[in-house]
Amino acid sequence: MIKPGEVKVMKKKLNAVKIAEFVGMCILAFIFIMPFFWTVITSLKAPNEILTWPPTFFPEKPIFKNYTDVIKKINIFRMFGNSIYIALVTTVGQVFFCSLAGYAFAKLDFRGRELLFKIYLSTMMVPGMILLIPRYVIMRELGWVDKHVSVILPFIFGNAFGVFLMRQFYMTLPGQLKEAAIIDGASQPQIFIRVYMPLTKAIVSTLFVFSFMGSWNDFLWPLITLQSAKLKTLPIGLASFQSLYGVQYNLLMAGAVLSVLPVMLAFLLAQKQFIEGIALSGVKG
Amino acid sequence: MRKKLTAGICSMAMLMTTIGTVTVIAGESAEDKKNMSGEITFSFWGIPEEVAVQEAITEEFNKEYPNIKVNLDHVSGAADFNTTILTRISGGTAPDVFYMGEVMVPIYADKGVVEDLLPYAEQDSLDLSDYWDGVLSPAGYHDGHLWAFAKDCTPYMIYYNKDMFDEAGVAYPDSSWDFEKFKETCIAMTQTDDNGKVTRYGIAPENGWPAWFNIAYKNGGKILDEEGKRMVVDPNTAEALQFYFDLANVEHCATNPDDMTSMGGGEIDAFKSGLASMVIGGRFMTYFLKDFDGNYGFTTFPIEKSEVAPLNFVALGMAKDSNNKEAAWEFIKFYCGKTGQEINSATGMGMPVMKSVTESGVWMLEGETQEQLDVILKQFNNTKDHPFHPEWMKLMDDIFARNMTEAARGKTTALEALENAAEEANAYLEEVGR
Amino acid sequence: MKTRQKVNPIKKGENFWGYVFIAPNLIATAIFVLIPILFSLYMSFMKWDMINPPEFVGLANFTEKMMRDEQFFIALKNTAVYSFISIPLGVVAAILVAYVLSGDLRGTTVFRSIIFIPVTLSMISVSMIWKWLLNGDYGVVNYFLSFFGIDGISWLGDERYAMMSVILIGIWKSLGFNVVILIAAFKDVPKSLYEAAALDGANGFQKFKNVALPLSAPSIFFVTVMSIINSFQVFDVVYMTTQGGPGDATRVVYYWIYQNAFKFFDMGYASALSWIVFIIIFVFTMLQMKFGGRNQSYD
Repeated sequence: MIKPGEVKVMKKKLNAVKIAEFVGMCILAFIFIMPFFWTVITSLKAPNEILTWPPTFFPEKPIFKNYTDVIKKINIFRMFGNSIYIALVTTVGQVFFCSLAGYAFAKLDFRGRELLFKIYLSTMMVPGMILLIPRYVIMRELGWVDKHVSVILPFIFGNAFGVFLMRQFYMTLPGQLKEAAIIDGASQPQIFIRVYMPLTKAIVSTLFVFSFMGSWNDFLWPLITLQSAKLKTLPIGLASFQSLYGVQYNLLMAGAVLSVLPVMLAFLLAQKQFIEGIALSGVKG
Repeated sequence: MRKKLTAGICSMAMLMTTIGTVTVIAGESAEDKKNMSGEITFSFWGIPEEVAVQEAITEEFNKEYPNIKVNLDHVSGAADFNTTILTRISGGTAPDVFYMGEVMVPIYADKGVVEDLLPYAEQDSLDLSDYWDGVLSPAGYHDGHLWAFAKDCTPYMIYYNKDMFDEAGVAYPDSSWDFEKFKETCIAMTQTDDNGKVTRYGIAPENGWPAWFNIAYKNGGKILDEEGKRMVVDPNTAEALQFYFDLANVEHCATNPDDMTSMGGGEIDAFKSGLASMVIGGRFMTYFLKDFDGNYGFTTFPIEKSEVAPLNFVALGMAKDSNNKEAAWEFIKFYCGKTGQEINSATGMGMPVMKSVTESGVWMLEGETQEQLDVILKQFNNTKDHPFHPEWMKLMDDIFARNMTEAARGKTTALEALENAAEEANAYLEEVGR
Repeated sequence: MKTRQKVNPIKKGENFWGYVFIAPNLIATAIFVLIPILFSLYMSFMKWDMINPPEFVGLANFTEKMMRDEQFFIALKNTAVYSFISIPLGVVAAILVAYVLSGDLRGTTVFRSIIFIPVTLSMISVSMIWKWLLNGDYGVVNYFLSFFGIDGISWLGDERYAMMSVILIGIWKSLGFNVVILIAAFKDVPKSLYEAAALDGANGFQKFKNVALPLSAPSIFFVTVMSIINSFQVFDVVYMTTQGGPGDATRVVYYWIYQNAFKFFDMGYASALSWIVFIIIFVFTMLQMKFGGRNQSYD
């Protein structure tokens, strides 16, 4: 057993560790934020200030013209709206259906579960590029080409990634909860919705952010299926600042900052959930 | 084929029955065309400024053809355009009219994706002699086809920073320069600091096929044999490329190719930032140098044994699957006609394909001189096709570029790279039976 | 894997509800993913230019053609190097950072947000920014290094550094993704277990090794498998920064597949290559499942 004196020594040592951890995190944070900082700075620079040596860390005179240019040159509000709409609808569906399937794969004992799960995992391993054409043909057969459903419906029922993530998480939850509920006479859907779902706030908010991001940043598929200007999404619009011959860095960077804002917002909203974790430490283990 | 024949028979019959009233008929048919109705989709890439150009052209087009609806499909930047269009073509939903980079023309023609436009042009008695041979020839014109109609084009030129030349007291380059003079100029414009580190290079040379083939042509070189069937090891080509690569690797008056990793963009950045006093590029440079705070001029590549210059261009193709070919043709014809050309070249991204429009100079930007126009026209009058081939992507984009990049990096000689490339390319051609 | 139990009243209805719960997802996956995948398998025995009708060539894509394809093997080797460095490095870094950030360190919220920033950026932005930061002539990284007397390294333009640079960019981009998942896992380890370990005299490292790691095994497995999948399919960052160069230094498999499909119009061969890549990833994942996933608990 530990004597009071030893505890004190441990505390001191712990503080040293804590300081080391803090310093390490600061260095890491610097490496991680610097490129983004640079993006923001560049988006505020005049074109002739961009490629200078030594580099200037604060623009001589910050200008917002790059932002107004981006807004003027592409139909940004329409594109923004389309992207938000597609991302939100897809994300809500994905979170629900991935939870449902992930739960089934982790907690329900049905025939062929392991095999089906392996097939699911496998679908992520085939390079997506060679699936474009058959998938496009399916869209044509369904009459979905040049419609928003082509970028929503194939994804709204969840994907292998989300199912995998949720399954792994549900696996860490105790099975006794289920057994207790069954004894209380609950049905399987009730068990999922009332007993398990409430415990997954942290991972659901994680999946929410990933799904939102995936949909928000998706580029090639919407590029291929959406043709009308009124349907196009933000990444498609922003990519047009990058031509075959040269890059308008200032505009591209302003676009990058604008486009990252909603995702960061989603992340910050979800942060609260990450921190809480699941509030049932007692139940587990 | 059958279609052409039918069209021929029809027009013959029409001619027989309407002798004497031809003018009336012609007038009527032109009038009919203006009333033609239909809907076409036009897919293109481009920066946002180019979208405005497409809208302006379509608006003008609709003044003449009010009943043809043109759906503008701005795919995005050029990067994923081919993948997108190819997927749509493969999926059976090809756009009626679409952009094609010059190298794609023989590829799509070979695959049977695009409609031959020559019969349409002949039917309308379009005066093709008013178009530059440098854009007609690569579209198969001399073999009796027109697989795509170029909408703008450019020779490759050398852009120089006038202020830096003034400062260094070096004369501006002009089209009278040869390889030796070019090298001297690059060396003269290179500056080093006290430690011997280069602070400014003479030139940021492009290392890609447009520049390579240009410099090879200027030395009388060729890439493919006379029939365009096999890759050849031409000593003039090897010599020109070796000279070009030595600028960086031996003379250290050009930027290192590995440092310019980005496609084209890196060189423009080097020029803009003052790291290089010359850069290579087409007409599109005027667009990218809009925000350049210095004065620049441009001239031809140095001329050693030959003046010929290839043209790079973007063309409009018509899908064979189009349901509205007549309307698509009218749109292409209008786009590549006088009004379309005048609107299209205003961005500074490319030059007109119509001789009369190019020569008139209406497309020139503010402050550009007759002298500069002459530099450009000189090249338009003396063109030679790039080594276009249905297997271009494999031959040039992969095999030639991969081998030649090693020479550009100084890892091997241009001659060895050329020999390797030719061996690999010709073996590939044998294998696929071309 | 556990053995099936006899019909247990507690498991009643699980067979039925299991299928119902996965049905929406399964149907969508079948239509939009499995059918295209099977189509690609079929195409791998064809010669197909995506425009004209495909032509059956048997195993030729896998045998003669692949065996002679030097570029494929160069790309495969580079992809392997990329994967074998970036997977362990990325996963270990993520575990350490997540462990620290799941504790009660001051400012964890801020650190977590910062580390997540790269994940939110699009690939185009990430590539552009790094290409520029790492530029040998006017890059900011060299500017910082110049204070330490290190001068003018062309990070992406030098064969010696290019691969390492793209690996680090890849880790930079994906670390936040892994960290967020692992934080959720570490947070869920009940405090009581740490306390119990402390009472048994475990030090910080032992608590990490004996409590935190085993209890987070499913999440670590997830992160590892996703890293395997993503690194064998690495493509955009590499090609937007180095274009496979200098020389052959950073040519990777996925790009070669893309080129064969959409540049050389050889979808049949591209499909065959994809299936080889698929098999490689599959084998590694199964190995990971077998040896790394032992601690996963089913109940």
